[in-house]
Amino acid sequence: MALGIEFRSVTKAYPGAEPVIDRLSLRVAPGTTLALVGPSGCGKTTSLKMVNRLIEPSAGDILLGDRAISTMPLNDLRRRIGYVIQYVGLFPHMTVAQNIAVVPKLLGWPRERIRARVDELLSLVGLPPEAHRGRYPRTLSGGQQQRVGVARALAADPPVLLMDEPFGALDPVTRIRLQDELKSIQQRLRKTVLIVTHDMDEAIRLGDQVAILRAGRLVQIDTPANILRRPADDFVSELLGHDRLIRLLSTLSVGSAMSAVPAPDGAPAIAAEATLEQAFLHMLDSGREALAVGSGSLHLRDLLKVRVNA
Amino acid sequence: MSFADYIDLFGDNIVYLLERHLLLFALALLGATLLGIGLGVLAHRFEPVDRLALPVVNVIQACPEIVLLALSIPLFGIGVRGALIPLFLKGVLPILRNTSGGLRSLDPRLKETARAMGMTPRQILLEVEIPAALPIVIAGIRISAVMLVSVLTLTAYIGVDSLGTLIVQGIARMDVTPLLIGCGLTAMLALVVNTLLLSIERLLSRRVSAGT
Repeated sequence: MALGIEFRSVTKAYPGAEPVIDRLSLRVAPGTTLALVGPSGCGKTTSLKMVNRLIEPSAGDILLGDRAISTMPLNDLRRRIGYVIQYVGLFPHMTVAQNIAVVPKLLGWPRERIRARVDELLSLVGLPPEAHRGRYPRTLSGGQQQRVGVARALAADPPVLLMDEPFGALDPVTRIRLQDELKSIQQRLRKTVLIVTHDMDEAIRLGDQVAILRAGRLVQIDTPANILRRPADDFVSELLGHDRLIRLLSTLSVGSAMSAVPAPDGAPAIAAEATLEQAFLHMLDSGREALAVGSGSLHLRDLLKVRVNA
Repeated sequence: MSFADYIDLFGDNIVYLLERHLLLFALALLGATLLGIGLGVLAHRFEPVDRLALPVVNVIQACPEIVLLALSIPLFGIGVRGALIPLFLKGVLPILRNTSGGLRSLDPRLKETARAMGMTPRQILLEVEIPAALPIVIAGIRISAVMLVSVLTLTAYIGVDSLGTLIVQGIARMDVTPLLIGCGLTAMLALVVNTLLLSIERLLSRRVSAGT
């Protein structure tokens, strides 16, 4: 069962300095992904680390489900939260299988169950178990290491997953592939995921909700599409970049904007699951202002409404 | 006396001295390893230990072995204790320094991940930190071991049998044969010990020195 995470007016301050986190309140609904975004030093990593109590808040409460985490035994709490950081977190002296088995071993699982679980997870993250379980982390590529990192975090089937710039050290191609895989894994497993990133594209791609932090304060929290439609202020617009409306098209499906009007004869076809960005590019490419979507159609003027449609 | 004659006559004695040498070596290295790793972990954990222990060990390290041996006679008397204690103390430093240095060189995020996974401080030390630093610790043990193997010959000067006894005999009697046998066996031991530990070190670091 997934558990929600809730920050209730959480503050983290060190003596003699501006608070790092200033009365942060937000919720991550069970089984959804929240992406925390912001520039360096905005407090996003601090927020994340307060959830597994690597850092303790100065004031306020963090709840897991309906319990304050401050009342839970520390190591019980941590063993129920998967934690993924940039790939340096793998233990170099342990094989892939041993790395994944750390938390199940701490929980005292029988050896057979651990072995089966390791193989199951390796398959889940796209690494054939036969070829990978006995390898050491340094013999793996960055992308493979990160896959093992995700498998390790999922090992004991924790309800919550914390990810701190998990794909930050990867090349752009691998990064996008892993983001897509994480998305499809998440669609199956429905964990409650809190992911920290400074990469707005990553936040938009992975988050059901995106929360934008600045200097320890929450600036805006909403779905990616709504943030792209209506940035709360200049700071958010700047983070989103000048092409935010193109990005908005990339987060919406053709199905969400199409009409039942039949397409004119000879209009090129596009799938309802394709993104509006792909549809737009298809229009530019073919020079046609309407595309056939099943029995309905998508017209160029449908694209003009996406900004106001909630 | 030729080598063949010497070995014929004193072969048993050579074997006895070799055994003594190996025994002393094993004791000294074991003591140095336990103390070195223990102090190294403490020095890594607690800043004051680092600041207090290191200068002491450094001074011991800077003292010539023969001086240490001479100083230890009034303290520990003539005999195995008097011979072993000062030498094994000299073996501590490389292990201590490599242990605390090896632990310090680990990526702090490694420890943080271990904490985040719900490992206890004990588990973190024994299952993550020490194993990850092991190649560096072993390198320290190797330096100590090679040094101890040869330095142990000096014990002969305070009446404790080792391969050094052959060397002292050779010098005293102006006889090259025991001298060369003593030196040769010591040198061979040093080479064997070095090769053995070096291969363990290589084996471990091949997997450990992660591409981070």
